Amino acid sequence: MMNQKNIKSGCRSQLLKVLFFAICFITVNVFTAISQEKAKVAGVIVEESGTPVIGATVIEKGTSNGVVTDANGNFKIELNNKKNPIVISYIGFQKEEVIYQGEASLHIRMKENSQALGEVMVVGYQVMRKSDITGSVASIKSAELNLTTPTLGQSLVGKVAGVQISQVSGAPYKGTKIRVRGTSSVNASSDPLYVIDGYPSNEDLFLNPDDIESIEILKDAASAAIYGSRASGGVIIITTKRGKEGKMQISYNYQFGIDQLSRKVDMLNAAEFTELFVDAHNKDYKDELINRGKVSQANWTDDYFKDNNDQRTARLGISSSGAKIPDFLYDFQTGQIKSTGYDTDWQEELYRNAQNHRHNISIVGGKNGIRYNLSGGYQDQEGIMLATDQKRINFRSNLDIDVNSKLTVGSNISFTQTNNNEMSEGRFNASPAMAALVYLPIFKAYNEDGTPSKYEMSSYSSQYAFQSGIENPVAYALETKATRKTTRSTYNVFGQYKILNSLSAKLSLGTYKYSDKYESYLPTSITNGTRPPYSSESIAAANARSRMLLEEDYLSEFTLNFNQKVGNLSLSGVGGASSQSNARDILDVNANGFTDDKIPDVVGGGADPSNFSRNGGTGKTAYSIVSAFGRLNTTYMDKYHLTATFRGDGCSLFGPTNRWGYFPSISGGWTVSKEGLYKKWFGDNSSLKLRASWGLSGNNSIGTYNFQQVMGKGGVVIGNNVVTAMYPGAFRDINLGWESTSQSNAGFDLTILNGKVSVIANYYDSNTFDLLFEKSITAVSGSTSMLTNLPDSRINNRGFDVQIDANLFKKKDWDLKISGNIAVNRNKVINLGGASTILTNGAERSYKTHITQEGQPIGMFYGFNVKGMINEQDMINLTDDDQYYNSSTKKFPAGYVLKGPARSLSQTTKFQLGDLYFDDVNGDGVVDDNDKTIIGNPNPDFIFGFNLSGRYKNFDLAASFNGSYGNDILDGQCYYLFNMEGSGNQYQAVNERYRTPENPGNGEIYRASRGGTQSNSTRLSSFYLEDGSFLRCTNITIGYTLQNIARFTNNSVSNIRFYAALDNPFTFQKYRGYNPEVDYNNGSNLTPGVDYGKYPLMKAYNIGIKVTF
Amino acid sequence: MKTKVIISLSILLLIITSCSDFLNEQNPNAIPSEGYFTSEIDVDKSVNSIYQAIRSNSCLGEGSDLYSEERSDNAGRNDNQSNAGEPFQFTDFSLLPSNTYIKTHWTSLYSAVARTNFVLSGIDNVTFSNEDQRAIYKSEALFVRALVYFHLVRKWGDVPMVTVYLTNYNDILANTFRVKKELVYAQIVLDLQAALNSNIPNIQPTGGKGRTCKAAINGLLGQVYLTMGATLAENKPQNFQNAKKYLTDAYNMRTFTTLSAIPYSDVFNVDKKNTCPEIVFQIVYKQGDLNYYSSLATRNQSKGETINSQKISSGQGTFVNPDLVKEFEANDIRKDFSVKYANDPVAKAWFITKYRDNSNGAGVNGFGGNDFILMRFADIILMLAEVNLYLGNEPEAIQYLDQIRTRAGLSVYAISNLNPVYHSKFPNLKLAILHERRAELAFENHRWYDLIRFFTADELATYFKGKNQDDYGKSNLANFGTKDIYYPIPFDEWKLDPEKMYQNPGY
Repeated sequence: MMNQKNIKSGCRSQLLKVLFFAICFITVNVFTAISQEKAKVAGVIVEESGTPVIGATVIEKGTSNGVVTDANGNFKIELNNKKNPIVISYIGFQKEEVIYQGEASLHIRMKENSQALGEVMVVGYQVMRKSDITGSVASIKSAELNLTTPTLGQSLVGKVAGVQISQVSGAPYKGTKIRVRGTSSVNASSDPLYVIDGYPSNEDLFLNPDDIESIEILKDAASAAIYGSRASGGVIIITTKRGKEGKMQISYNYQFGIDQLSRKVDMLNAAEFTELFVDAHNKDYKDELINRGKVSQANWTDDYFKDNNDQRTARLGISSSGAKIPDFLYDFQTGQIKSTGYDTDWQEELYRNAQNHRHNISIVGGKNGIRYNLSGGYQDQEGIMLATDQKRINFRSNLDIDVNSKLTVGSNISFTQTNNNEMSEGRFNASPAMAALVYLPIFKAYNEDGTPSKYEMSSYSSQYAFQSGIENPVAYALETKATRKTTRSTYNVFGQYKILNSLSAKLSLGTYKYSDKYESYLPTSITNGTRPPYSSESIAAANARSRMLLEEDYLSEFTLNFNQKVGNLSLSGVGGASSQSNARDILDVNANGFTDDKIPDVVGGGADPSNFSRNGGTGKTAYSIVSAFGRLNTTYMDKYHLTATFRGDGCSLFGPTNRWGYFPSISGGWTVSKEGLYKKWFGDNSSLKLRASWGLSGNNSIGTYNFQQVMGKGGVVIGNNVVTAMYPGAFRDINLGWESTSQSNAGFDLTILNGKVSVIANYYDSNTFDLLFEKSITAVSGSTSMLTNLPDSRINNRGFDVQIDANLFKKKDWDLKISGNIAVNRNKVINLGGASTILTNGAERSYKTHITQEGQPIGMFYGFNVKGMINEQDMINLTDDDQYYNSSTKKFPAGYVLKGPARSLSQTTKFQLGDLYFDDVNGDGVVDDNDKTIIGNPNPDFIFGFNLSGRYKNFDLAASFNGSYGNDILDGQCYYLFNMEGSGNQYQAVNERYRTPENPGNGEIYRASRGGTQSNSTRLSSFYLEDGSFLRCTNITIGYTLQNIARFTNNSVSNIRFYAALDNPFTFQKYRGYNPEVDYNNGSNLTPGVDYGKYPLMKAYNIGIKVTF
Repeated sequence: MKTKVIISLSILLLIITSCSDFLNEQNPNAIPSEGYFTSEIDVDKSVNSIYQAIRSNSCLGEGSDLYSEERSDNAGRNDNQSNAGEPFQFTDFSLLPSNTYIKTHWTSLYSAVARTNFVLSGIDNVTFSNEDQRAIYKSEALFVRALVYFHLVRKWGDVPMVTVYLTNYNDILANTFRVKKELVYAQIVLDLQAALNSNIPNIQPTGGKGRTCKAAINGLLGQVYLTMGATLAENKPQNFQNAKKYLTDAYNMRTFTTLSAIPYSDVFNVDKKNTCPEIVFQIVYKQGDLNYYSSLATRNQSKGETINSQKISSGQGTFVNPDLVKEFEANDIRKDFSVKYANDPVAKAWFITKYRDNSNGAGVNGFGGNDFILMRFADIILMLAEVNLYLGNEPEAIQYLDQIRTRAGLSVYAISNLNPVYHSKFPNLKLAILHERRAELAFENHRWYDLIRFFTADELATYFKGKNQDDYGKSNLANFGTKDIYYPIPFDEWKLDPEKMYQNPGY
């Protein structure tokens, strides 16, 4: 509020003001000449909240006479002339001028700059006043971040309306998934572009969150269009802290934390599991006897369950592992289950209380036109899963030098090194996370000698249909190796020259180096398939991989910035050109032929040259982008704002005919509250700005060389020699071009109650066309698909996001702020440009899990709808239907009306009581592919976040929450964990299953049987979808700042803050698995919302201290 | 001031204009397909790639039995669970168009076609030092193209057919349609006849094993005519006459006198795979080689057995339908060579022992050296028996049949036919030949094609339904119907153009 008022009055009477100052100047000078009386003045300088301002400069105006406030904000100054105004300045605060009028002690409150001059925002190649911005840009200051979290993404969770930041993994070396306003692409990446201190990048580079000054997110296409071809996923602009003129400030921060598994999944215990296993295998025996015609349904008695394994094999005429039960689990005569004496909770075994340590030191200051900010950080983060961790070193140096009044030069240098011990994810044979759920509780974790027990489950697999290929997850975690050592460094130098007062030029040259070394080793000491550790199979399977990636990126950028005021018209803008080139070099090799585990590295591989092989990723790639861009902002009377931008990008990733893309945007704003009529009606204590924008942005995340068909290489044996084979590779589209997103945005910025409450709301409508798409083509071509642009295709995202901030209280001793945001996005495929419906496979199984078709959102879950559970009447009706069913044509006679449920064509066992049946959508009497339909939506109805921050005297408190409502999750692990077979352990919910007509369970969970219920467990149905809604508290921080510490430390320490924080302390969710934000397919547009053996989320208990010297 | 502004603007312009070369990034990892052919060596390597294509287990390699033996009454599987039960659909006759294995098979076959088209599109653009060599390469490409189309047309009926290499999307689109099977057969015949026009060896020498030969081209052409005669309505007599001609040409290229000179076990003996004169065309695997070994012996083996391989098995091995085991006559030496009963508690079933390599060279990891035989003289001899039967030359037919029976240690047809058990099981010569083919060529991926050549769709349905369910494991025989004579067009391919890529009836 204040700012707008000030600016307004300033504008209105510019001429008067100049005149006024001129008069004052003359008057003061005249007055000075007349009387020169000295005065000793003392005072205290505080912030509006009452906190003392330390190190503020107090100067007698017009002289060099000045002092600095002490740790309590106190100052004493002797004025040469007591009539001279006293000027108080401090970084981040508005300058204050007071005239001494004989007070015993001056009490001066400083106002924060943001309120005084109008907050500024970085919008790409330019800094703009927030009040002039006409697009949709969210801004987060460092103080608003959850700084106790280990990564930048996590520190942002729930903070920004319209930006979905998902904590998809709890691994210390994994980042978050960020989506700005929904998914707009099919086959190209929907990740945002990061611009770090002006340098465009595809990732956040593991920045130290402590180094961040502010983050701006360009949400609408009009704002993002200045970044052209890479901007359709939104742009995240990160600005790091820079040096400031003033006293050198050193601060040191240490944090220690304990991390735990945020949530345990409820699994069956040993007794419950055994009961299920016996039930399932007995039922399978029954199913098989009846299906094979060995016993008729009518002659069945449960006495057959007394058959021991040999009798079962004899009666079936074949050995069936699904029908057998190990005698250590079951007494065939009495039908009683037995115990192995173990009841292992594998989650307890695999996850631990992990420690994290973090040190950050920063030195900031500036003198004589040289400003510096140096920082270093070290973070040692253990993972909650055994044998995982990350050690991270961050270093940054930002330097600005004013060579003279016109020329400023500077540099940004940063370096990040991460050393990870990682763990593979996915299927249980390579993912301890999943193995800890699948592995049976009846087996022990450790042998008596303390070594991990191995091979128990797999050793029984072929005989009793336990899952094979699974190893004790503890042994797997401890004995396999996967390390990653990464260094990222950025070197940037720039010079800025003021050509005219209103025109400056900037040249910036930068380079980014990235190296990544990944090494893994699978030892001979791990179970392989059904074969034990150190068996010939395990020895043959042992292998080491080494992957080395080197990346170099060069950026040169030249911009001209201008700023001109003509009467009531303010003009500003930027024009520039840039070129960026990127080269990657990957060497990826594998070695096997290990005879022991003594050298767990590629160099330990076998002696035969064929023990070494080159992996597919090996090769060199390069791309380059050349761009010209410009932005023009005009503001008339500070009320009417108009901005136009343009960018042209040429990019080597596309076919020669379609290399150049052009991305314009236009936006306008109207500060209604500056109109006289508004003031008349609503008074002065509110403000309102209306905004509207349109822009075009592009997407080029498609990989290199995709427009050119090249030769593939292989080998074949002729005679007894391996000879080289050359063949044409995948078919390519030589005309491959841009995918573009056109987005309109309308919104308003409202403040009421003198700025205490502000509301930012946006509505947007975006259309992506010329979709980059892996289009199906007939295999006759030698390929099955090609990457191309779909003409006439369109994906629509529309929705709104609202951000509300309220400063509820602001008193001397306490204040309280709350803020909340909500975002609604509706995604819809309007037109696939003639491409057929896209069915994709998003879980391990070969069935299709997702469908993308016109009229629906991208990546909907696809399968059968469960219609009900077979009851006794259904069984009778099914028998009636059987008489009419022709099993070779899979049809009923025309016109026949089914009595019972429709049978599934993928079902190999006849329906039994307690089986599920599916909806026969087309009513043809059978359930087949044609009855698959959309069964769920991975997109939420809305997402939200809210934050709370407050202070009471020296205590401060902050809390953050985020959540999602209305999305479904496909739990791909259900294939193992919820199949009622007992091949692996099962969710505890299995206790609620159908057992007998008298004991039907909860009516939703079907009967136990190994192999008999295939239509359920091997088809994707609504049975495996779950509600993904959640509310999560992501952070709670309580801090205490020691005041007056300077007094006790002889001014060497000016400030100490202690804090305690919880990360992800609690989540309300319905989802049965670990984490409702999981994304097995790592951001793939077509297969979202799948859970499958991912590293679960952690919660953290942190304490820390920050000392400022 | 002005000059500074001008300098600044010129820097801007400089950056923008210096970019045209900057944007031309060449792929350093691979060479473009366009303009690939520049020398004879390029042709040689591209010809190798067509053999690589058919070697794939999804195409015609040793692991492609899912698409033929498991479809027939010889083998199957009891596991209706793994991989979403999709492989089980083949043996269970419950195949759905969306089955991903069927799509993979289709794609792999067409990938081989595309490679042959690629070779034929470029071969005339390079200079050869010896024109004979150019002709030989062409023979090889034409042979493989015909071979693959022959598989396609028998499995799907009408199929899309291209004989040029497609280089742009519009051409691909224009070729997305099914061609009547008669026309596909006509093209196959054309290709094979053209393939005969070179000096390719009658039988490949040791160093050339894995490549086709004139005997194979003749043999395949004979088989194509035989199939056309048996399954197409038109020109039956001419087709049979042609079949006889080319089968006889192939037969006359043999280097042995009579089949009995070659013990049955020699045909599958790893040590004799390059020298056994019975083998006409094979896919070659290399013993002990990590990348090019054969896993056939290992894969088939049951737990508790070491007859096939030193590698220990944990499962049941490839499930042999008891129906096949029962078909062998007593004293048939081929039975004990081909199958064995595994008595391990997890098995208790018959498994395949026809392919063995338990040598130290293959070792405990089972890196076997077995070749997968696509054509051998016993097959050609039995086809000669068959075609002579169709042409009314029963004595000649029986003479060929007896050549096979004699080697198998069985009495000649005339005597066996007097045996009431034999006669009641195989009441006529046609069924006797079919029986002989089943016993002789089991697990060599011939059985399914034999069944659809010997029977019409209705006859085949009756034939299957007449069998005993208990001899089939979990596969449900009741599911068999006339629809099963063809595979469904893969869902994704059908979806491209439901009209021109029409689905086969019953799916």
